[in-house]
Amino acid sequence: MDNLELFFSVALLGFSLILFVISAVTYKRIGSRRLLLVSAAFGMFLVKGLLLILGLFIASIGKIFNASVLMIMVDFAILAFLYLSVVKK
Amino acid sequence: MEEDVLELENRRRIYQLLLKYPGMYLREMEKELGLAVGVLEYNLSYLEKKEILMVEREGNRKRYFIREGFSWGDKITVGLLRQEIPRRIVIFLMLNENASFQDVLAQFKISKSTLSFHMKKLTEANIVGSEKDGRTTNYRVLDPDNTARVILTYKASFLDVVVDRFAEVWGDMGK
Repeated sequence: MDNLELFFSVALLGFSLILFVISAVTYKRIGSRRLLLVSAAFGMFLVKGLLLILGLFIASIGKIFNASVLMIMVDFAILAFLYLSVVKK
Repeated sequence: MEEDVLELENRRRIYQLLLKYPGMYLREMEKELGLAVGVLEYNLSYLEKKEILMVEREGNRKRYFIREGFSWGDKITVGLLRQEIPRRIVIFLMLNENASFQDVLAQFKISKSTLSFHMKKLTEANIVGSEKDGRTTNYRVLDPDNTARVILTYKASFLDVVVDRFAEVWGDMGK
């Protein structure tokens, strides 16, 4: 296992968890649908971070996640949520 | 108006100090807060009258405490007033009763839709009431005493600050 890969996977998980919590609390307090979309985007980052970490330790998950289509789908979902939060009136 | 805001801020500082160090004497508070004795006495007597503080006499001296069982408001009110923009709107309305939407808008660097959003939330929570006067809508705080109490005892946590900044970064929160 590459140490650099582990470091960045943990950092991604940590930051996405912090940002997800902050965005979810902000949404809960303010109740704007725009913030719900932003929270969903950070939630997807969190899922991605979790899968990356699990993939480093469990070979079968790593194999599935390394399949480029799944990676692209998660990234697409993140960008789609962020895009919707920007264009939402 | 500035004087009122100053008093509210002074009361908040007194409350926070007594929360941290219950049983302080007047002179100790004077040193700690850097307030003139007259100002301090006036605000302490206000807080005592409002049953937020209680006093214990020791000869000629008085020790001040936060009253036990003092509750600072219902969850919805507290939750809303934890946010910077609604809190500032409410303080403005407490100082300017029956201010119109345009009056409030002129005070803050926020968009119309953001202000509408916050006014709707404040109205739904029964913190603010509105009244139509021709084409304008005027707003006022429905229970100034209780609302002042919540603002007075509010202390921003790290999360509150971060949440406010996050909301600011993600821009207009309308709708």
